[in-house]
Amino acid sequence: MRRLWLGDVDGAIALVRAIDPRFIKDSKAQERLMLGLRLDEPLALQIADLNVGVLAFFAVSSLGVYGIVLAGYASNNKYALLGGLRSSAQMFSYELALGMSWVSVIMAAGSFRLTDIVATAESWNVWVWFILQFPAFVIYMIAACAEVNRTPFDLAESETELVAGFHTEYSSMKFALLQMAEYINMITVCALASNMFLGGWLSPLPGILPNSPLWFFAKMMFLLFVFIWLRATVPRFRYDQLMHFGWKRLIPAVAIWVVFFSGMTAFFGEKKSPPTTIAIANQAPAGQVSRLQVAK
Amino acid sequence: MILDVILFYGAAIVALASGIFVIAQRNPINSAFSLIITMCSLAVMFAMLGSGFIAVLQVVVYAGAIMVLFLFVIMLLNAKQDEGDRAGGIGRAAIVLGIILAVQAVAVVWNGSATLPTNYRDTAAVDVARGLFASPRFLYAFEATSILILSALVGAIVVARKEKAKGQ
Amino acid sequence: MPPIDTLYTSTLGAFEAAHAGFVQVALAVSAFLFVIGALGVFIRRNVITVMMCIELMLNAVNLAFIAFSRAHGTIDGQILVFFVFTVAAAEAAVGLAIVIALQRHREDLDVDSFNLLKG
Repeated sequence: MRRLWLGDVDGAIALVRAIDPRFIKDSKAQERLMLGLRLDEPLALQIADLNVGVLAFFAVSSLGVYGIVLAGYASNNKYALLGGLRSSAQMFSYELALGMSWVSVIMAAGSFRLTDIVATAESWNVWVWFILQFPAFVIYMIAACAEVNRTPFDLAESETELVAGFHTEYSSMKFALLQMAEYINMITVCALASNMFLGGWLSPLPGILPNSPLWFFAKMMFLLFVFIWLRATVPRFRYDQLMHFGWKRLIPAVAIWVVFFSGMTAFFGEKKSPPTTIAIANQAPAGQVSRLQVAK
Repeated sequence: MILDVILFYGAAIVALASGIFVIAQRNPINSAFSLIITMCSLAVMFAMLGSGFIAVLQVVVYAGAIMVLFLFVIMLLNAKQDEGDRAGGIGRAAIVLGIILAVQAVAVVWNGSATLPTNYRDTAAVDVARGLFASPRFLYAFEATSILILSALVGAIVVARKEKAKGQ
Repeated sequence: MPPIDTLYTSTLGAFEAAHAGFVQVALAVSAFLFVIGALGVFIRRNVITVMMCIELMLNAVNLAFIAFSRAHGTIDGQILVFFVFTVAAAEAAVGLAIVIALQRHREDLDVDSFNLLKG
């Protein structure tokens, strides 16, 4: 087990090559690279590859609603409270469309795990995956834009119209924390979109350019650019237009997409990665308890 | 393994403490937040007991949606703090009976013994889905809950709607 | 051995010893939380707090289901938890709508003040 240590300037050239262990063994300079990592086995750049990956993100973003509700309530200002309630009502209205837009992706991948989703995108072509999931991608981006209270859905905090919505009474560091949280939320939804719909770390030219984490960052940056572009370009929705759009237009649209996609899946058969080798033994006849056993 | 034990017992203690806070706090918003903490620590316990999927669902459905609904209603109706005991001395009687019931319940549970199956593995969403569709009673119940949710949706909207002015 | 999908890593041997204790502790916590919820329903005056104590009882029951699912090795407990989530959500929605209607009529959320049917 060799360990790599910080401090070699030459080796700082190839961050990506450093992560792949095949390249480490070649050059001494690259050995002394970063972070004291053991690199005999491939290094997963994830903290945890959860079984329920996508759902865990959904759980945490559902808890993000409380930040806004509490920020408004704690302000001792009834307008801030109403702004916070409106903003959080908008957030959890669009969470439904957000969650349903993933259903087609998860159905195609057969698993909630983020690496399985990218593996499925790899087994289909990245471009085929993108084109087939495109409606879900569009719905996801719209719902994500509303989820992070970003223009055109940012009436609750619009600096040009209301005073500031739920963060009226916050200034300096507390406001900085709220704004940073909003931007981190934006980055997270873009990262998730690039993972699920755009193929994550897969390269757009599969044979020619190698897969690398830089593609993931590039795709995420592109989506962030789209968010910032939207903010400068599009006027904002009025609040009732926003709620109307979320409940009466977006949710039926994503429901129709889910029905369509599941019909296509049932018709064409699923084309996904091989099933996990654990099966339910003794399929239970009606009325009996079904037993779970590990296949040894 | 020691981390598992610390995490589980820690989550159990947090769940119990915040459960007690739910009924002990006077302000309903503090009760709501104690309940949210209870639900999240219960989610940790679910995950340690092998069902990560249900743990995440607990956070999404309960802590992320139902409690937001509760908070909204509390804030919009401006629910005040509780004043004093319930009428008729029911409060004090309830506490006595509650203590007796708690001791009995914990004693019954504690004296049982659990032998766990040895070839267990943590279940994923796909197992829950397979189990749902394996036997017809779960399948029918699943379809029935969709009708239940629809009726609850319609009922909630109708009950909470403002009355229309006469003559319109 | 096929790969095991776990949410966290641990060795399988000591795993079982700790986890037998987990099931018992989980059941005890479930019983205790249920009693706390029931106490809350009796003690508290605010309607919304009473509803939150009902949710606490439902959560305690969910914990018991998951603990038994772990103890028996079957998936049935987790499926029932699924159904409990659904029913609890529906019940919370309708219950809170009723609370809103009550507040609109009486301006009061005290449980003891709704005593028109009292003999």
